[in-house]
Amino acid sequence: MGDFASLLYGFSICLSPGNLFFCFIGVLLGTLVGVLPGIGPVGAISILLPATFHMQPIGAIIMLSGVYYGSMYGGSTTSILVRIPGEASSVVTCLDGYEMARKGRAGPALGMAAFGSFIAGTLGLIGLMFLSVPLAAFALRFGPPEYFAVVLLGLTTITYLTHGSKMKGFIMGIFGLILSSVGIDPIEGSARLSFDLLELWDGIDLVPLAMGLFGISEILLNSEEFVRPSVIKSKIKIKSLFPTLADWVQAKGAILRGSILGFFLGVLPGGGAVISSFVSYGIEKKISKEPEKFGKGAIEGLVGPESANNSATAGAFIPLFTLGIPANVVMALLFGAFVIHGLRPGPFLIQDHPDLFWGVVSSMYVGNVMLLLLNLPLIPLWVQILKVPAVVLNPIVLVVCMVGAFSLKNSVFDMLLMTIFGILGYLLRKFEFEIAPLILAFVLGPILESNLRQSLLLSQGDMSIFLTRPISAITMALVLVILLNSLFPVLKRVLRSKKPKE
Amino acid sequence: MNVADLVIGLFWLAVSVLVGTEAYRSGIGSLGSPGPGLISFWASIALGVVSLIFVAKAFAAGKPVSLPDVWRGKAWKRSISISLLLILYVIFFEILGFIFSTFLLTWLTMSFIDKSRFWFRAGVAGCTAVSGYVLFHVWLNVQLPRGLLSF
Repeated sequence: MGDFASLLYGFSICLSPGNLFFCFIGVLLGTLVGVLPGIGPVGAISILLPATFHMQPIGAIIMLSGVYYGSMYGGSTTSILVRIPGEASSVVTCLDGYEMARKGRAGPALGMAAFGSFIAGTLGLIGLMFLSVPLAAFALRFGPPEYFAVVLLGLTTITYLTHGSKMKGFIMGIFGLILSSVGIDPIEGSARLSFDLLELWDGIDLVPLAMGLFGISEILLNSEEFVRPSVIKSKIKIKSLFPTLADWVQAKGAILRGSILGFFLGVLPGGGAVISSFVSYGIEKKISKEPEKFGKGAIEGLVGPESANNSATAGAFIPLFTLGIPANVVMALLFGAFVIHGLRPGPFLIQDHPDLFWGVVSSMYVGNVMLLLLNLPLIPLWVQILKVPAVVLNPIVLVVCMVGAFSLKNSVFDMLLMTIFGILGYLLRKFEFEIAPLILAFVLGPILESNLRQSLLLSQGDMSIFLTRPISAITMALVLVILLNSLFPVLKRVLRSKKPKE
Repeated sequence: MNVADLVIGLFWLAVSVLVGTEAYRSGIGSLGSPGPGLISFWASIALGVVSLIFVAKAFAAGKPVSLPDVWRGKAWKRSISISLLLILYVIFFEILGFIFSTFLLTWLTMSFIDKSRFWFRAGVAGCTAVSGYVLFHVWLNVQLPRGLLSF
């Protein structure tokens, strides 16, 4: 089946009333969490995971994917109108988007962000469609050593790309690995790290872990500071949302550059929407003939990052669909959703479940159109929703998290586990530890472990198996380069401090 | 000395010792026949090494940082109150039942966050408990506990 025929097949699946409904709910909820500062796509997806238990796998993945790319659209609204990024990848949008709004150009800023996101999202999907199939075919050549090396590369890159201290990122990655090995050993069948607690024999579930670390900790942090956003009071009419021809001429290059850059950064482990939006802003400023306009309402500074973060969401699906390796924390949660529904993302996914792959890909086209139609007329509504006080919103999120954890196995132990992880997440974030490497290591841990043990069994304990096969050797070399690169500044600092002062 | 980093380092060191011991008990095996504790054992060693670097850095830090600095200027009593409330919610969830315990959780959380009007808090708490029951129990078939009060 050619790509076009496969896409048509995908449309026949995603346009069924049920899947269309879940796509709509996904993008609507995504826009909502993008609009509301605090709860980002990670928190929303982790909270929604239990709700998908009773759904069909295709509907569940369509909905959760919709939340992810929908949040990218929603995030720009708060950044432009309130200067509060609804989620992390919209931080850069505040710089020029808010300035445009202050100058009375809120309408074109919102419109341009939505159109740029739509174009980039669509271009990203085309890339996803054409790259996934050949990459999945290539991944069929992978054996346990290659998988181990690729997962190790993913973990190293993610830890390397943490925003704060590398050492803290490293600790989070190791802790995630440790948590992933709790429970019955899949090969020997003996309990490990269960500390004689029967409830831990099944291991720790992703749902209470993610909901605790992201959802509960967010509420605890939010409760400490109360910020009432001040919304720009100019009335926004749909007519005023359409950018002028001059705006389009000015923005077209930035949209295209942002789309391409975002897509490729999205594919890389640890890349994703946040980094691509920052890189895009930097590039636009660097190549601009008027860099002094950036930060004062430059349209390129708005649409470049907005296009990049939307295109990155499509790119991030590639490693998940083709290698079964999540590139970022949202993909790790989607990986969890696949596993909950008895599916295994990876090279066989397209071959064994073409309905799911093509259904989800085509739902993204439909979702992008829905978002465009939904976002422009509903902007006044999103602005009103922003006024819902945290005092009402926070307890509701707490209840949803608690019941979500309970519904997993009708077990109060999972609620307790989630509360403990919530408090731990709060403390970790207080001390500037990033949660993302922990979740990714938790999801990748079992893949890493089983492939390492299989490789060692195959080679009868000979570690050179990772260096004698070309793909794993190249990948291991990349891991080494990243590790040395992160150690280099530390060594430089140590050597400098040992130099006698003149 | 950076007390915050020292506490962090010692905490992770304790975790690494605990995990390392338990992993060793599970069996590390050999390279040719890896045991169930292999990954967690080596992970605990790595965690221990990084923790020790943290402790060393904390002692070497020029600028003194105390632990309470992290909470300075924040309404930290709220987060502690809500944490305790969540633990109590878990303990009393099955005893009091979903509706009553959820009403109390929502009402008390709102009271900790903001001193809004009594009837407003009670109204939001009531709506949350009832709509939560309809959503999870009636629509999603989650078997929520009825508790002592039988609802």
